[in-house]
Parts: sequence; C-alpha cells; structure tokens
Amino acid sequence: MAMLEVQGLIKSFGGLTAINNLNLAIEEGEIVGLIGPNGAGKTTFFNLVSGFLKPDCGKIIFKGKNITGLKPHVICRKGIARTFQIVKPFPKLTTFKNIRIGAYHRSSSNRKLIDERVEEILNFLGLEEKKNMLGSDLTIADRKNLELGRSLATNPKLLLLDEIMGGLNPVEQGRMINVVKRLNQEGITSLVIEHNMRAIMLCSHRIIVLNYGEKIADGTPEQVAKNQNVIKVYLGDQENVRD
Amino acid sequence: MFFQMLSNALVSGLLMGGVYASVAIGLTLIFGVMNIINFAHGSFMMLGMYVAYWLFTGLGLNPYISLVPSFLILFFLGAVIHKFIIIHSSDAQNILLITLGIALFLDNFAAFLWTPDYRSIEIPTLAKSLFIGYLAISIPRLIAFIFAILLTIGLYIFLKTTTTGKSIRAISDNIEGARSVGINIKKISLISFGIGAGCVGAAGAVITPFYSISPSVGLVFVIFAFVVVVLGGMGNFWGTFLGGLIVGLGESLGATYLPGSLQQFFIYFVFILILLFRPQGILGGKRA
Amino acid sequence: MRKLSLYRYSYVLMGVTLLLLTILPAFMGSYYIHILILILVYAYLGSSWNVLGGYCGQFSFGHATFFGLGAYTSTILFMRFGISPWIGMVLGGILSMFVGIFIGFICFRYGLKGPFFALATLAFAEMFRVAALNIPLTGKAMGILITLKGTSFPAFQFQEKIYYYYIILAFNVFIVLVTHLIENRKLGDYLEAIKEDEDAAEALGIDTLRYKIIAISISSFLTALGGTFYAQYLFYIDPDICFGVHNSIEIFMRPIFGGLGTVYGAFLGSLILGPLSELTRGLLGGYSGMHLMLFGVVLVVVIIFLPRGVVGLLKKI
Repeated sequence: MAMLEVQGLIKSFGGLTAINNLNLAIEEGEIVGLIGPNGAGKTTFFNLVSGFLKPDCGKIIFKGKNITGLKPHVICRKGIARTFQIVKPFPKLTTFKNIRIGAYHRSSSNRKLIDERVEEILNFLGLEEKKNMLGSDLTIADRKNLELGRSLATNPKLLLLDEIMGGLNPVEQGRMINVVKRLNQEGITSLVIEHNMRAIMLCSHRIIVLNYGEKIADGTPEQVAKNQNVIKVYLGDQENVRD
Repeated sequence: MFFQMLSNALVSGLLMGGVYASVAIGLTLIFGVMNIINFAHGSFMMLGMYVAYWLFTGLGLNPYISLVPSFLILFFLGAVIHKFIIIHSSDAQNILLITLGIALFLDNFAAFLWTPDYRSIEIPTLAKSLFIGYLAISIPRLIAFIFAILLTIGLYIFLKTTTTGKSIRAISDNIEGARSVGINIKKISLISFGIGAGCVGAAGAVITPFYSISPSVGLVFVIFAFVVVVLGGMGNFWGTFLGGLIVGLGESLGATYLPGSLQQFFIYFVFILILLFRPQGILGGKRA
Repeated sequence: MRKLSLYRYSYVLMGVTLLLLTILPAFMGSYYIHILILILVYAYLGSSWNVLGGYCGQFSFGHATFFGLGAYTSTILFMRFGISPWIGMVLGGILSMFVGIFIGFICFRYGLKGPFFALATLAFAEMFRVAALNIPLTGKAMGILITLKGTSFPAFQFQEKIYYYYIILAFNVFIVLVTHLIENRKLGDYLEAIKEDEDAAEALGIDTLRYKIIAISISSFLTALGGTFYAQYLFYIDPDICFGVHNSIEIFMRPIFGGLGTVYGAFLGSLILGPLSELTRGLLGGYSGMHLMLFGVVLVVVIIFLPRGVVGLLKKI
C-alpha cells in the first residue's frame, strides 16, 4: 500500500485547469522530488493534499484512508505536514514558541516533554541560539529552518516541502539537503518541490515532473534527466527566455 | 387606502434610497480602489452638511450651490487625512480602527464647536411636495434623488473616460499591473480618497433642506453606507445605487408596516446575511 | 537583559498596585471612588474583550451585545421574578456565552475576518439594541430602573460605594488570573498562532474554527458578568447604554491602548484613559462625549505608532 495515493485529481480555477487528471503514488520511506515549470500546479497540488483546497474531482488517499476534502488541521493530525513556499513564521512569537505550537498536538500533554521535544528540534536544525528571537527577526535561512522545525514538531509521517531551499545560499542549501536526508533516515517520507535541479537530483529517490497540471514523467533522477518530454518542457522555456 | 399608503411608502423609500446611494457611492469608490473601509465616511458627510448650513446661515447661500464648496472642502480634508494618516496604516483592520478614530474625533470636535443640537435649513419655497394622484413627492427629496442619479452617472463617466478615472479603475483591478505601467499609486489613491470624501460631503449638502443636521448624524449614515455598499457589491457603482434603493425601500416599508423601529433590525439582519452568504453583493464586486 | 528585568518586576509592581488599590479608598471621597469604580469596570470589560481581540486577534466591535445581555438578564430576572442578581449574573453569562458561540460560529464558519468580522459584530449589537428598544420585556426606550432595597448582599445592592469598589476590584483580580492562565497554556499559544497566521496555524494541526469559538465563548461570558455589575451599580439600564456602539468602543479602547494580548494591558489602559476622560470632560465641558475626541486621537496614534500599546512601550524601557 502506497503511503500517498492520488487518483484522478482535477482542480480548476475559473477557466484555468491547474491540475488535470493527476495520478501518482508515493511509497513510504521515499524522498520524491516534484518539479516542473512555473505554473505547473506543484503548489496547487500541495494545497490539495494538505487540505487548503478542495479538488473538483478525484481522490487523495493517505495510508489507505481517504483524506480528500478534509480540513488542513485534520490532515495535519493524520500525519501530513507542509511548509509554505513563502514562509509563514508567527512573526511576533519567539522561535521556541513557534515550534512549540506545532508540538502541542502530540498525544502527550506533558509540558516538560513538549519543551524537550522543541529543544531537540531546535538543536537538530541549529536554531538553539535563536530560540528567544522573534519570528520576524530571523534571517531567511533561519525562517526556512523554523518552518521545517514547526512542521517536524507535529510528528509527521509525510512531509510536503515547498521550495524549502528558495532564497538559501549554496552552503545553506547543502545543509538543508542533509537535513532532508537525515529526516528520511529517521523514517519520514518527503515530497519536495524544488527549482534547484542539482539539489533535487542529488537527494531524491524518485522524481515526478508536472506540466500544466499533468504528470509528464515519473522515475529515477537518471531516467527523468534523459526523458525527451521533460527536456522539451525545460528547453522550450529556455528558448523563450533567450528571445 | 392600502395602495395609497403602499405607494407613498415606496416613493419615499426610493427617494431616500437615492440619498443612501449618493452617500455610499464615495465609500464604494474608496473601498474599490484602496480596500479601505472608511469609518469616517459619515463624518465627512456630516461636515458637508455643516458647510452648507453655515454658508446658508451666514451668506444665504442655497445648499444646492453649497454642494460645490462642500465637495471641495471635503475633498481637501479627505486628501489631507489620506496623506498624513491613512498612508501609515498597514492592513485593513488597522485602517478600520484608524478611520474610526478619525470619525470619533471629527464627530465630537463638531459637537464641541457647534454643540450637539439639531439644526435645520428652512427654505420655504422648496418645502413643498409634488402631488401626483395620491402620491406626495417631497421636492427636496426628489432633488436629492436626481442628484444621486447624476452623481452616479457623473462618477461612472469620470471613471470610464478621464485618465485619472481610468487610472483609478486600473488600480482597483490590478494594483501591480497599474504600478508597472507607471501609474502613480500614491497620487491616485490620494485623489480617490479625496473624491470619495468630496462626493459624500456634497451629498450632505444636498440633503440639508430636509434632513436635520447634527454631529451624531455621521455615525447613523456610515453604518447605513456600509450596508448599502456590501449589499450592492463593493466597488460596484450600479450595485451601490441599487443597494441604496433596496435599503431605502426596506427602511420605508419597514417603518410603515412594522411596529416601532424594527425596520432597522431587518436592515442589519440583511447586512449580516449578505456578509455571510453573498459577500460579493447582489451585483458582484470585491468579496467581503 | 533589560527586557527581562522589568518583566520580573511586573509581578511585584502589580502586587504593589493591588495593595495600593486596596487601601486607597480609605483616603478618597465618594466622587473619586466612583471614578475608580468606573475605571475598574472598563478595565475588567476590556480584559474580557482582550481574550478574543488581543490574544486571538479577532476584533469585535459589538461586545456591547454581551454586556447588554448580562445587564438585562440579571435585571429582568430580578425585577420580574425576584431572582438574586448574583444568580442572574451567572445566567446572563451563560446566555451571553451561547449568543457568543452563535455569533462566532456564524461569522467564523463563513470566513468573516478582520474588519468584516468587526462590522458584523457591530451589526449584531445594533440588532440587539433595536430589539431592546422595541420589545416590552426590556422596557423599550425607557429602560429598566432597579428598585432600591438598601444595602442587601443577596440583592447585589449597597448603599455605600465602597462595597462595589471591592467587588469590581475582585473581578479584576479574577480576570487577571484567568488571562494569565490562558496566556501560559496551550490555549493561549493556539489563540496567538491563529492571530499571527491562520493558515500556518491550520497547517500545524490547530482547529482554528474551534479555538476562535472557544475564545469568543470565554470572552462573551466574562463580559456579561461586567454588564450585571454595571446594572447593579447604576441601578438603571437602557438599550443605548447597554447595546450602543459607544459602549463597544469604550470596551475595546482600553486593551488597544494598554496593550493587546497582554495580561495587564486593558487594566493599564483603563488606569490611564479613565482619568484622562474625566479630565477632558472637565476641561472641555459640554456634553458627555467630549472624551471621545481624545479617544479618536489616541486610537490613531496608538495604531500607527504604538501598536503594542502602553505595555509594549514599557517593555522597551
């Protein structure tokens, strides 16, 4: 049984079809990269899976249970956590509080245990020094880490990372890749939207390519890199840019 | 007898509806363009009324002529308020509170200057009614209704044909697009706010022949203006006109057929229903 | 370092303030005690509003609804059925809570936020005001005059103001404790998360609808208790006093000025705005709304320059 299964997903906005009859599956323990040109529907897909949008048609099945159309907080509690493309830290709360808010929903309501878990996450992501800083005072790299840390606090089985490396310099990106890999080693399945090709090819087990809301490729990084359709989609874009 | 009462209620409702529409038009312009919910809108109208009052008492100026200075003074006041205060606000909630603060200040400053007593403008030659069959149509109210139509048409033409008007519509549609084609957002927002204030100031002048003037009038009208704007669709001009008529009719019919002042209850009730179930209003505008 | 030290002292400061407030009346004439009572009433009401507005970030422009429900419930139950206003107060609170849940559910379920939520709550308050103006039960525009029974604890009436003073002081201590409890627990964190970013909060497993409703139910219950106190103190209520928009404004001015989402914000706000209102009234004479001019200016200044209110200012010192 796949961890996440998407069947016949369709989502339109007015006249624009953002997701067009999408079918895919994510197996437990994978890191799957989700790539595609701008407007391909990647973030829309995340919004659909995490409950922020309702699909017009289709099913989303998580660990065998139908989660289509459930509210975001319910889906979070079922074990799917997501980050946002444009980070949303709680600006006037401290880093510690930010993460703790994610941690509350764990079954234990023991304050001490929750605080310990927050410390664990802070250390894991290198935010220990910044734990009393306000969300709005953090650098972009720290905010990305905070976003990730908050999601981790909810104890997810599946992580949806939306351009977690956006705005990071190469060193920070390298660190983030390692974090994702380590999380994977600890049993968290990840679906990663990324524009940074190198990064995604390096850390993914599998890559899914979207274009105009449709899946045009699905395979290992090597397979996808050689896929004619994928090359056309990206080369095509590059031609336009040159003009 | 029944039809007499009904038709008179309908007529006076429509006429008053025109008034509500002319009050609300400025508000819908301000909201449509800048997403500003201007709580001080009623206060601007109230000041427009006082301009007409003092010009009438001091210079004997007919309020229908005073609507020009009312417009100009309130345009200027609106522009100043926008330039020095509104511009500092960060989001819609803050703007609501800021404009509420401005309203509180203006309303009570007016009371300080001119006392809370009600005043009125008496123009004997105007205080007549047109009689068509058993319909009694108050002349000043009819003039106010015509003003409302002219104002709506005038603003519509202004928005469609003039450069400023088109810039306003551009910003209302797509602010980033407008910015990228070189429209000076700050300047146009300033002008829009001024026009909105000016329009409602003029509307205030126009209703002085039949509506009593007092600092407390502002609060009454601003709430009604919100209802009208939300009902018709925020940023939608004809919607606002229609919304005004509906509120006017509702109020008039309610006052005629319902006991006490219950018509107000239903107006607020409808307001909440629209906010909940059709936030884009009847004719469709920006969503609440 | 500085920030930390003032905050540690805040407990001490508040303890001293409480002590002062407890002994102060011994040295004050009736007029000043009256002023203090009004300051404390609105400090309490403001703190009640603060749970929904300051912590949860949902600004209600219609808290007069809950105030009025409290005031009218206890008063009507007392005048018509002889039920002790203390019991009436609790019943009024419960009724108010249900109305709050209803209003909250309707508004939040249909996604009303920010200024539209504010306007909707204003509309609800106005509906109640118009209803109270028109139905015989509430005495219509005449309002209700509470019969004097001399000093009687069960009737929640006292001839000397000092009793009212200590009761409202106790109310304030109570709400400070409640707010403190909320702030330091999951509920407080969740409410603040909703205030800061609803989408992020949802993504972290917070049922935002549920918690907003929890916030409004707490806030509406507490506000209603204040309404009963007010009725019992002034012996007279009418639709404008209870449900009028001016009442709602007086209520939220305190926490906005004093500091949103803080334990002592509304209290400090009232401590400063109360005397200022009296001063303005005295200086400018005229009719009763003069201090609103000041409030208008304060509102604009605070929103633009002091968004964290007085408490925010103090924290920086």
